[in-house]
Amino acid sequence: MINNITLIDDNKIDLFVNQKIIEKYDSGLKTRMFTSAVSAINYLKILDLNINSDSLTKPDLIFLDINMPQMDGFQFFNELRKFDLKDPKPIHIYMLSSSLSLEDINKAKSESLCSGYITKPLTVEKLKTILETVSIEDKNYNYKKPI
Amino acid sequence: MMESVKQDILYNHENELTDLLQNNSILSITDKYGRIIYANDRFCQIIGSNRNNIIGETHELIKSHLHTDILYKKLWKTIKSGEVWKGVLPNKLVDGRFYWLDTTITPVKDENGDISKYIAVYNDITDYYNKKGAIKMVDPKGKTLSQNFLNVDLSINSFGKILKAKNKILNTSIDDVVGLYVYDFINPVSHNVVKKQIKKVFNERESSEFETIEFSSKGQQTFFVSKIEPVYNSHNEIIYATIATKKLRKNLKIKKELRHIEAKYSTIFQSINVGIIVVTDSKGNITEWNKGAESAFGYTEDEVIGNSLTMLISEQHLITSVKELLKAKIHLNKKKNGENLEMIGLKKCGKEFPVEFSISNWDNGKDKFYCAMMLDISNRKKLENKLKQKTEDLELFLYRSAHDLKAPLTSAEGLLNLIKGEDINSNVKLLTTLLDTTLERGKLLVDNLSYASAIQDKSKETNTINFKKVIDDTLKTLSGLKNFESIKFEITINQLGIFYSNKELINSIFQNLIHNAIKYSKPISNDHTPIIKIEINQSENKVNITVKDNGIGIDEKCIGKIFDLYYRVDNEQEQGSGLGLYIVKRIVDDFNGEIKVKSEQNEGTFFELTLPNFIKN
Repeated sequence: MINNITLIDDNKIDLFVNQKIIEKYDSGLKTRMFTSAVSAINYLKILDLNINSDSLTKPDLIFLDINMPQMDGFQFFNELRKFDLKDPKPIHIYMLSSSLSLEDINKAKSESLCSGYITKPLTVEKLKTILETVSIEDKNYNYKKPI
Repeated sequence: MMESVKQDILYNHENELTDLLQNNSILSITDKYGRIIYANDRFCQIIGSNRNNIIGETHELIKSHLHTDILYKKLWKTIKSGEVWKGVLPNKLVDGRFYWLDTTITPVKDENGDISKYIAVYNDITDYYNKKGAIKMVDPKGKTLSQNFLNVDLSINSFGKILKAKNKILNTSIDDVVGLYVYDFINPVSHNVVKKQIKKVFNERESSEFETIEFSSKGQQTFFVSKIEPVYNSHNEIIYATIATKKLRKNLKIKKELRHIEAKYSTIFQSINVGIIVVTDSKGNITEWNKGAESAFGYTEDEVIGNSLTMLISEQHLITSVKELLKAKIHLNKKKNGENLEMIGLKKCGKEFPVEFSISNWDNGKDKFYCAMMLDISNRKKLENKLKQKTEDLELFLYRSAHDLKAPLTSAEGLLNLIKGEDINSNVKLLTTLLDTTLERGKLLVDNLSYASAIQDKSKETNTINFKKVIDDTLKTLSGLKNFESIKFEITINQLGIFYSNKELINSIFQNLIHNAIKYSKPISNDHTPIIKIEINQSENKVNITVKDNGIGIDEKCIGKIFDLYYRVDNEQEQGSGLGLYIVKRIVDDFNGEIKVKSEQNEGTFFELTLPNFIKN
């Protein structure tokens, strides 16, 4: 089940819109927002060190913008790859961008940590489709996991 | 016995003999190659040079302009065969005066019987010659000489030696003329011309007429026409040839004009800044070279004349350049039009630079000449490259801008979605729908802009094209459009073999053309069925595509503008970005294809495209 969603976007209005859409879909979902990829990476690092801490929750799903200053979406993946997450359960990371450029789409496709590419704006329908796909994947993942 | 006497004389009278020789004769000894190894004082005097400068030099030193090479050839032939040569050699002094030397050259053999040196003894007979007035001493640039045998009939052999004369020449009596060479009476400038003509008469057994120009000391030119005719014996062999010369009087006026023109063009030719190189056909050798060419390539005239044109072309690009040249040559011979080509030139200092040749040709009798006018295009190339870079920058800028503009538009769209989800009254609801279409249009424009800016990049990549699939996909994406259901599509595809092009751009062409055809269709009614006919005919190296509709058509006045950037046909219901057909045209141009449009208002529009097959190498 998806409980925690993390949004990474340098545009605060987009963060606001996305948060509202998530709320609208299911007000029970928890969202955490970062205005830069760097702070999101730092958060994930800390999280990995204190896995049992109550105040920190690991996201199940991340919506990641591409064009951001300092560190863009693709650099975020590269950083993420540098540390092995102790918790083996993978995080679903979707790129959420306004770009229709083929170059971006192809780059996202070839990124192993990237689960998908969706175009802005996020809508309730798009969110619904993603959450459904993700929960099916998770079920399969748990099922396959050796006991 | 005799030997010992000789030895004795030589030994006892050595000094006397040496003195005698020193004072009374002019003496030089050369080695078997003709290099002077000894010269006495009088020889040095005659030559007007220091002994140190003479020793080691060849006999060329005493070669004058007045005699033909044949004289020297004969001389060498005689002495090389070990025989003594006797004859008169002219010698030109530094101050321009001539000495005539009665010369005896004796070969000296070594013990093996091989010639080791030549001893030459000269007698100065200049006074005798001058008194006789046999030959007017003439500076090459000096007085006229052909004039000397005006209307004089001479008989000559194939070497130009005078065998018979009907009249005397100037002051030279008939007897004295015989045995001399025609060249003795002709301006050295014309020697080669005359030589060629005489040779022609004897070899080709045809009479020949030629013109010579003589310069007077004042620089005035006189034109002469000479006729050489072969004379045969009963066995049909040429015994000799007659030569008659006359001054050209009738054409004097024309000649004067010609002279002006010639003077004018030769001045222009030499002084013009543009490099001009004249090349003859047979070997591609350079025959003329002007100042402009010299300053561009760094070679002087002497260094270049007679050499192949290839010395001016960068080695790295030699093969392609020569191919281009040959192509231009063939083209010229066929069409006679000037031809321009660009290549990389090579300067004397080894530096390469881009150059443009404008090549033209003309015939002169049997000879073909090619003239290359040369422009150093370094600056133009530099600017061209700069322009290319700027265009790329601009396209990148456009792409980035379009890309970045999209972000706020999508943010606004997101906000609008939220507003629509709120509890709003009907007035606000109406406004949100209007805002929706505005944003949609903005997004379409921005997308097309970024697409248009990326066409050039995309066209570099080639894939195989399946036209049926392309059209099916296009119709699928367009199926959401208004009127789509009511339109009858008639599709014919004749695809033979594999077609290579860029899939994305081909898609875009169909997308835009079919979209337009649907957008501007007339609504279905009892007496009207909207039809869109698509026909694709692919041959081996190209494809022909036609898209025909029976829609509203395009106003005749507007048809020239439809491919322009941002041009939009006024239409109340539909408004495009003004980029669709611009994009189609850009793609077609980028593919080196062709697009044509025909349209009639209320009847429909017809697009025809031809695109090349980018067959992979």
